[in-house]
Amino acid sequence: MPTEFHNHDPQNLWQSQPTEAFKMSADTLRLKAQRMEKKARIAVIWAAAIGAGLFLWFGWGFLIFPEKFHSFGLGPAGFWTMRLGFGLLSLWALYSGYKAYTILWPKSASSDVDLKTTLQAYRQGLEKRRDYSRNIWLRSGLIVCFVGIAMVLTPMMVRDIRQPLQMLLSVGPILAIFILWLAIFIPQRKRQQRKLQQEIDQLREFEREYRV
Amino acid sequence: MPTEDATQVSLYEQAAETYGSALDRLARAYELDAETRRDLLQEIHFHLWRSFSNFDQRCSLRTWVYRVAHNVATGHVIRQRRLRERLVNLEDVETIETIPGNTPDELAIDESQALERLSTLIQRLKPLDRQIIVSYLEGMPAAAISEITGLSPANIAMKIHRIKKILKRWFGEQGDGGKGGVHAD
Repeated sequence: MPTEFHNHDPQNLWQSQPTEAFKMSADTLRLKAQRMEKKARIAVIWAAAIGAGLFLWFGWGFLIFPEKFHSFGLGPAGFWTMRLGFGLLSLWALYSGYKAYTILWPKSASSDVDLKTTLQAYRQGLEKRRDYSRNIWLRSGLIVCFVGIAMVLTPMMVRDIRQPLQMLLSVGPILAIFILWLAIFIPQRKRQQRKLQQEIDQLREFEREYRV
Repeated sequence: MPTEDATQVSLYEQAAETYGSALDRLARAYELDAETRRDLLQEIHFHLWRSFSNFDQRCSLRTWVYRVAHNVATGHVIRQRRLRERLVNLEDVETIETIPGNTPDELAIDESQALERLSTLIQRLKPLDRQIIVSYLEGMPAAAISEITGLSPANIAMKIHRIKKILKRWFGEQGDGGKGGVHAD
């Protein structure tokens, strides 16, 4: 039978809610730690394999390019731009494999979640997220990747400049998708950054004013 | 003499025994979905176990346990991008929130509905205020909440005053202190 809402003491209500007896055995905990490490190592191996694969593929493009030079019908400037583009992309692939290793490789077992107050941990969590999204272009080397792609595509675009229809057909769709992605991604990212920064500033002010 | 690993395990067992139910409730304050909540609870227990290799008794076991648990749960909120869900501060709830259950008809509700209402309120709060309200509901003194969060006891007392006012609006007179109250020690 329903009781009066007035009769509910929130503390009593909260503390008397049914809970589940939950405890993990030492073996389960150790097993979980081992599984987490194994999972992280497998992720690193995958990322390294993809990085190595891309490195070989783009490297192959860089090495065999002189042989294909005539079939592309490019001038010397276009030839070197495209070739260096492949070189840049192969270096980027190598760097991303290494970057994946530094991010994903399991750290030591000790955890630092305990050493901070919850206010510090929350602020640092937000700062980490802000820095990640702010530096993603630099840290993942995406700028190098885009420059490499541009260097590979531009000579072909220049070659086809007298046949605009052919040029539009070959690079138009990719370019349109890229521009659309940028148009959505950049404002959204800026909005997120602004919100995160506001929250971080608020917490910093809080820490300054009310810290123990 | 027990090995470091044995100390770590025994501290974890002691914590799970003493604060197991409170940790379950804490997970409920951060995650509504039952399956994800179980994962979160497991993660909290796992981090607790790992953290005890660093436990140096500079603070009480309770403070340690709650810090780890709240930090893991807050990390969960950040990772799940729950921050996008327009979470609010206590101040916002106090000033702009409309009060469900304000009409006499809605006042008569059973305990599970009241609990659901309380959970809804908690889930709408930003992590820091959520930590404070959960600690308050667990009946912790302001000094202990201050130690966990890193905010001054005076600020915690101010927040608790707000919480009591809000709970009074949502739960009637009993919300003002209730059985446990919060001691300003």
